[in-house]
Amino acid sequence: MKKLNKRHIIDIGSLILRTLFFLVFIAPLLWLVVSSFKQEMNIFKDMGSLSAFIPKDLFLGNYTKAFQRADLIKYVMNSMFYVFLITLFGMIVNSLCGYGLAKLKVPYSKQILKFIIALIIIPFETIILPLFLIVNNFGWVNSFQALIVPFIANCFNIYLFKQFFSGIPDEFLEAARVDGASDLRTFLQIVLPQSTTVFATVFILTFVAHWGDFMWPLIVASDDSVRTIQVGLQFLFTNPPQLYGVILAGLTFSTIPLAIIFLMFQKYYVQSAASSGLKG
Amino acid sequence: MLRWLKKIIVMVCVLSLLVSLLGCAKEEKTGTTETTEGKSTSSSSEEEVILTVWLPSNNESENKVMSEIMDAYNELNVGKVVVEYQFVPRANAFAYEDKISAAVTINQLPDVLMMDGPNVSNYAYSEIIKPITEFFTEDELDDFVASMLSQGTYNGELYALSPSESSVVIYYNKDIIDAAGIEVPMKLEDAWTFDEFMEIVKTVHKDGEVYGVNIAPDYGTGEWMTYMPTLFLWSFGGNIISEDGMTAEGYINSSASVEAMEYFQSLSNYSNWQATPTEFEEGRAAFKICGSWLVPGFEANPDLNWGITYLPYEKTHVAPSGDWAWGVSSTKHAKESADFLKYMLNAENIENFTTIAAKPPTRKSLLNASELWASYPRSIIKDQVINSGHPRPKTPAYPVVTQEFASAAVDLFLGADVKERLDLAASNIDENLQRYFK
Amino acid sequence: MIHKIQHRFHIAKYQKSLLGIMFVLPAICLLFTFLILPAIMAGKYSFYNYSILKPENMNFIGLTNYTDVLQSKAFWKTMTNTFYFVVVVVPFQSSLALLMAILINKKSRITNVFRIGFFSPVITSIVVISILWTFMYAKEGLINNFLSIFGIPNQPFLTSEKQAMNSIIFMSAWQASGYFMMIFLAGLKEIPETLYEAAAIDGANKFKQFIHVTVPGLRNVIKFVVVVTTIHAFKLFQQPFIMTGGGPNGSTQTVVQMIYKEGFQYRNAGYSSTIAILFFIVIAAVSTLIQKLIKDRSY
Repeated sequence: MKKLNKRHIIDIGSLILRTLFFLVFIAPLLWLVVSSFKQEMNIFKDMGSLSAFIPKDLFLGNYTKAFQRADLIKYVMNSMFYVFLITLFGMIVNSLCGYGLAKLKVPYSKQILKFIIALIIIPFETIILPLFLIVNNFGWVNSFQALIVPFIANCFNIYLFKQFFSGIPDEFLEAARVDGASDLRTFLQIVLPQSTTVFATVFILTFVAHWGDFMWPLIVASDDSVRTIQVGLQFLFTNPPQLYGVILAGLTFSTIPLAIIFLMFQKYYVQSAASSGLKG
Repeated sequence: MLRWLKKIIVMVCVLSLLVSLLGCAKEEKTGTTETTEGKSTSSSSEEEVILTVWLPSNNESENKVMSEIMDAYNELNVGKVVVEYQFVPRANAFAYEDKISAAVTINQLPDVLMMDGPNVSNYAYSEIIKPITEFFTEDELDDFVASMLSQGTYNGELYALSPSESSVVIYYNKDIIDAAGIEVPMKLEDAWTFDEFMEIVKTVHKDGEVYGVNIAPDYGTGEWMTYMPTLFLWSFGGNIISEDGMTAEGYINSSASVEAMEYFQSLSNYSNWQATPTEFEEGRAAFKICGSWLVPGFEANPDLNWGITYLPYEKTHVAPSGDWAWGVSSTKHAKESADFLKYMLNAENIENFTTIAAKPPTRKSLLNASELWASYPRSIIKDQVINSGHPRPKTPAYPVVTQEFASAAVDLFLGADVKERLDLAASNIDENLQRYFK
Repeated sequence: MIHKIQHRFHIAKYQKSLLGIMFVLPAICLLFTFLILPAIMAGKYSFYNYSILKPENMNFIGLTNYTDVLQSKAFWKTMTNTFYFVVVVVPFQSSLALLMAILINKKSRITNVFRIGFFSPVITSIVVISILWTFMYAKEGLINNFLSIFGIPNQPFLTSEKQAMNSIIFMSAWQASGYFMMIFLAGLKEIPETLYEAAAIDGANKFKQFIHVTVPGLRNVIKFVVVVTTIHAFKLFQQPFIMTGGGPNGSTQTVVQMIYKEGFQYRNAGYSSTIAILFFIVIAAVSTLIQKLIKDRSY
């Protein structure tokens, strides 16, 4: 009896904790969406109290103005296109590399891995200029190539893949090999289906990371035909005076694709738990 | 439900892919959307010159009138010149300037470009823009206000001119000021001294209810904290940098500069550094020190009972000025660029642009002839533009100077020791000047 | 005969590694072109006086940039600030992320909702988050109003030298923990349920299960998250850039911010590259050290 009580208390405690966390974490998204429907004055009048998070009026003026100022739909399409391709090609290239380093015979694989990890630390801001010169040499300025190709290979993702593939027991792959499967077939038919969580993780994280790109697209792709949403949004920050309602409306709109991508892919977390028979 | 969503997303992805591919294919034929019209009308002529032009993107009405003016130029010059223009976002930091820097490294600057006024010296020093003095006669130049000519001049040559000017003014909340029985100056010679202004700020400030003055804080991230605090510096007889733009020591930390910034610091007792953008509009600040660009927005706000007045002064009347200006790069098409520049700055086009943008025009003839600018509240802005406008310092190291001064100004407003902080700014600026410009 | 077998064996071995190389090569090529090559170019610039606006004036100046940077007070200040940020944020953020992952590592509809909530700051633009927190941290902002209920006086969260960096640390940990929660969660999914059941049968309570099952099971992931969080933390840039501009008194100025400022705003690509190279060396040393430390402790 006493034991049961204790477990109840723990469960309730964890539920309360989770709910508290939830509220604190959801707050900015809530603020963003709620404020984008408020009149400019109300956004800041409410800032000092909880009414900042409570919808007051359903003012659509911010949205009409935002769409008037910039062709947001087109820019979102452009962004979806290039970020999706980075992610897609990235998953192929990086997972192959991670698998090669984890499970195949690659000369100096330990050194290569160390080197790749060391490369993670290069802050992008420090190589913008030389990278720009290279991309210009390729004749890619104002094209989608400039937005996509430099970001396909990603050290962080290679490491992530490598870590997860290393967790797959060798005997498991050995069995497939004995059955006569080639390395590529083993990878495609045995390893891939076991790795939905990693792929979902990489997909979400890569998508999120590149959706927010600003400096690079601004410099290499300012033409209207390849303009991305983050650059397009800057047309709302017309200075001065800045209308925060309009800015927040644009930002809300630009968050929708991310939210959908996340909702779609987080499903795989549940699925893979069911299928997972592997040891970590 | 989620399955449906997924299907839709897949469709959208495929569609967007197709659309983008089609878009690319189409684009190869006709050029970018913004320039289609100009290009398609005149592809037959072989001698036609293509001028590329960059300008900052402002609000939609300003962008529209600028486009119309340039489209009209293309129509006037069918078969001779095609202007391909691009609006570049300024963002809230220095995105436009970063883009120019990047273009310089690969030799792809546009033929004609707009730049923020204080950057003129930096670009002129780096020889990425060319003098435009010879494009204009002396009489033509005489029509421009002194502050604008000064902003565009570097080493005795004119490099850039702007259609519009700006000024810093004092806005006040009429309800609060009237309730306190304060009379507001309506003529430049009646303007408050800084001491008088401080006394008034003190009387209207009510702790926790109404702030004495709002300084439109930008949290230390942009050009504003240089543009605005210079009004104190110059009026007290201080300066950021020497006349030749090469020494900060003894200028930014001179006794006059220190005195000016001490005054600036004392305003912080009656001001909120973390004010929300609408603090003044909500009636929670009696005064607001801000640029002339707020007037149209305030006029459109029926709930706000407001007025404007001249900046206070100490020794001289000074109002910070400056705006984005047209310049010409080291282009092959110097003649066409000059013609385009002169077209953009002719009286008619300046009038068209400044009317829509609600900014003071830089031509005195326009300012003086205009009824709009002759009547309150704009008359005060006009008065300051003509009589007390002062551009920001001219130095090849302007990017360094503005950052160092602005961050010092922020620190002072948050309570740093004035002399110490200005000494630090002086040594930072001089170190950079020493390394790169001497 | 023996010779022949050996030969065939050699070929097989050669083919095997050839296949491995084929797997690895595309990534390596891309990394070389778009990451290593630019980094080498930056390394070259660090020995030059190179102003972006005057590329034709580029001239070799040996180690001058290095001596200049190492003597610059601003450089050491940003270095100290960055180290402080890293040292505080890494343990704080990593344990927060792990706690969150454990809290929602259950299969049910409601945990899905929690997961979405915890991850939402990651998908919300950092610009929005920085603007929102700037106002929440304000003198009359939400947090101060909340604290005043308990009689705590107004705190100068972003406007005092002492608190500004801590405020940014708190906000950053809160914002990024959802990201690393996802990685922990992926790791937790790989720990077989049977291990927990076995531990429960042995009479281990939740805490003991955490110590004896979860932590060892996550060893690789924890190592990974700590290293990556450290590297991420070193790259801090956006939040102070938007919220404080590096102030007050330079207390939130970070190294990457200085690299950006010197390179793009002041247009001194040479000097900026020098800071980048020195910074690169420092992070490489630190992350190697961390990897060593974690390895030693977990065995």
